[in-house]
Amino acid sequence: MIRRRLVLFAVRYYYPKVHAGVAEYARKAGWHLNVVFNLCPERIENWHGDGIITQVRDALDTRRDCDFIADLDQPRVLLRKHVVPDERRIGFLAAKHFMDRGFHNFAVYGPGSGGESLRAKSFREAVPPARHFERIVIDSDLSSWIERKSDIEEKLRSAPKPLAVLATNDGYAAEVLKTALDLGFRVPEDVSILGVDNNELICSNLPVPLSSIDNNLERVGYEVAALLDRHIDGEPLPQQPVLVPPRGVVTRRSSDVLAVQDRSLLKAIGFIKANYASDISVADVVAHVGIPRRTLYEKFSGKMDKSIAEMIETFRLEKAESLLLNTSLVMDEVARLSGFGSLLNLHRNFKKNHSQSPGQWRKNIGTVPKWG
Amino acid sequence: MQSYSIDIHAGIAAYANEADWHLQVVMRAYPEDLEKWDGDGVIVRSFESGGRGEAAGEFPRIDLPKVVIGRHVAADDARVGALAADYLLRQGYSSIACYAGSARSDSDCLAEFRNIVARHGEGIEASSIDMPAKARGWLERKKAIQAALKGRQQPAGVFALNDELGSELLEAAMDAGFLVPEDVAILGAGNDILICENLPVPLSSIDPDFKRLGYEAARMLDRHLDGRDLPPKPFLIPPRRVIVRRSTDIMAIREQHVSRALGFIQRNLHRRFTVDQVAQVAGFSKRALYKAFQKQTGMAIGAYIEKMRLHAAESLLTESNLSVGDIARHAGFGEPRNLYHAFKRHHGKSPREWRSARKR
Repeated sequence: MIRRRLVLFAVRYYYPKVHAGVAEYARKAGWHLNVVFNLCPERIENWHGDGIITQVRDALDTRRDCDFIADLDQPRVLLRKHVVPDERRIGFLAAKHFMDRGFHNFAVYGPGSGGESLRAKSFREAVPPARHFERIVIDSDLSSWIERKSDIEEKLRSAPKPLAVLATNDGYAAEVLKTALDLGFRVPEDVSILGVDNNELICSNLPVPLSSIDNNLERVGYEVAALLDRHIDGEPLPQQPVLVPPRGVVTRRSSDVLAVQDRSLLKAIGFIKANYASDISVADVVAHVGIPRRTLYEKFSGKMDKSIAEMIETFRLEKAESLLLNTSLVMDEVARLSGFGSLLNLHRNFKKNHSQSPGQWRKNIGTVPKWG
Repeated sequence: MQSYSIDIHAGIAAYANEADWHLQVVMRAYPEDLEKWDGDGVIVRSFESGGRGEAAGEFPRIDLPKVVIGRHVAADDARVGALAADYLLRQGYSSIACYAGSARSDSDCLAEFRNIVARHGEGIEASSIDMPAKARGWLERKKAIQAALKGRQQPAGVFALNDELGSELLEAAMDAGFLVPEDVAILGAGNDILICENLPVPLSSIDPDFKRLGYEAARMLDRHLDGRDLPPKPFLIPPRRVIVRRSTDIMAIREQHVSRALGFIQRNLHRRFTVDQVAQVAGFSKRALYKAFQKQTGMAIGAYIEKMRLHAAESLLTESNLSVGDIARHAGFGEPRNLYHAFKRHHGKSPREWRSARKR
């Protein structure tokens, strides 16, 4: 009989979703998983087993004496180092989410330990240079609430509206939301807010429910456990971190808005939103709005940075992604329900936007890969 | 919150939603982060779970109405201990113990646990798996657990103060070759599903109803903001119930044990034996055997043994010419007068009268 592996999962910052992924792998692999959440060094002194999952210390940790795990000389895999969320893709998705809704003014709020986090940077870089961009960066050495708050207030007041704000996690997003509402701004009409982590308990329980990027933390946990298992078998750890792609944006009220004043644009987008799943064409949109095709086209490319046809495609693609992620429908059905109509059309759009087929995309992004 | 519980968060969030609060969550709080935070009120969780009354140093820099989970609202630790004791006693283990890791073992929870076992244990004592004074490290703890388990009568029922410790105990027990739950049954507390359901032997645990704890903390803060005083003593939330998973599920095993007892009785009817001996063979405590036997056969074990002996004696009386004295010995009654009394009780006749009535 193969001996059961004993693995320690010891973290200071507890993310239930990461734990869920690690636990899922542990159960399937038949590990005995020891869990220590609120890590203090004595708890695990002399711990001895087959391997350890823990996390990189960061700037915040220096505030407390926690030289944890340094003295345990056993195979170990580090969250935030060996397996990390794909920050570039997160930044890109956030920018795309707001641009699809017609925003021209952007801000990012989040801690940069002395500088800009990769998440914030990716977002900034995904926004076309012509648009207005604000940064609200917390210097982690000066991160008392009162300082953060005055910084947010100042930026929210001075930035042009409507303003799209990405906060680098849901907790920070809640701070922006609170400050914006206190200043008398409407959310999402004046200030539209997007968080990251998709922490249901935070997002769904705010006065304005919060949109958030689901960065697939379950998968991060699962992959870190799988990596450790292979490492115990003798495989060296990768030089580059394993990147886990985000699952997508979960849109709630805080960003469910079109930053568009133009009535014919609103009418056109409303029509597309209601009918993208059927076989509509650009001509149908033009006929519905009742202005010349050329005029409408110019409004789209001026305000939305895309053509009418691309707008229809955006809706279809989002629908198809959501079906691939959340259902086990076959490709034919996904193509039909998302309005792409044919399998060929679905494939072509995925290749263009994701450089992979819908089948590959589903496999790569699905919450937890199938075992064995 | 310094230590995060998803259920407490869910409870607070549920109230926040009802009351239309803006709930700002800091899942890993450093006091500096929250300096001069300017909302209406704060809910914090004390550092040490179970460290009731020691939370005074929490976030001193926030000078706002504050409800401290652990001080103003708390899990009813004593009732958690009582529930654990009651559950393990009803399961009928031969020995009962508790495990608190390196933490203080004088908590309300363990005190009440011992109390209940002492009061209703009928001879069973609740021992604690204590750590040697300097055993802080993992390895020392593990060794101490294994040594303690070896000294216990099996099956042993062990209550671990929380699920993390339950997981630790499970690993130490299995590593030393004990079967769980056959030799050592383990009950945790907290019902952390991610821990309990993903262990090699899923862990039974007490559901402390943290969701309600969070909800009540939020409600108390709301009332406090309206001017009501905070209670001088914590408002206690009782645990919900024991969530039974495999680590204490001895019903299946119990059936095997009872049939082992039945086999032993059949094979040994010709001699004297005690219920203690049956229990030993079956791998039960005497208490547990009484209970399981009654449950499965509908009879008390003593009555069952006597009935079997009577049947044996009856057949010898009708089918042999052995003397009543011999029959008493062959049917395991020992002295003839034991056989005589049993017959008088059951048939209203002496063995001799019963035999002649049959022969006629």
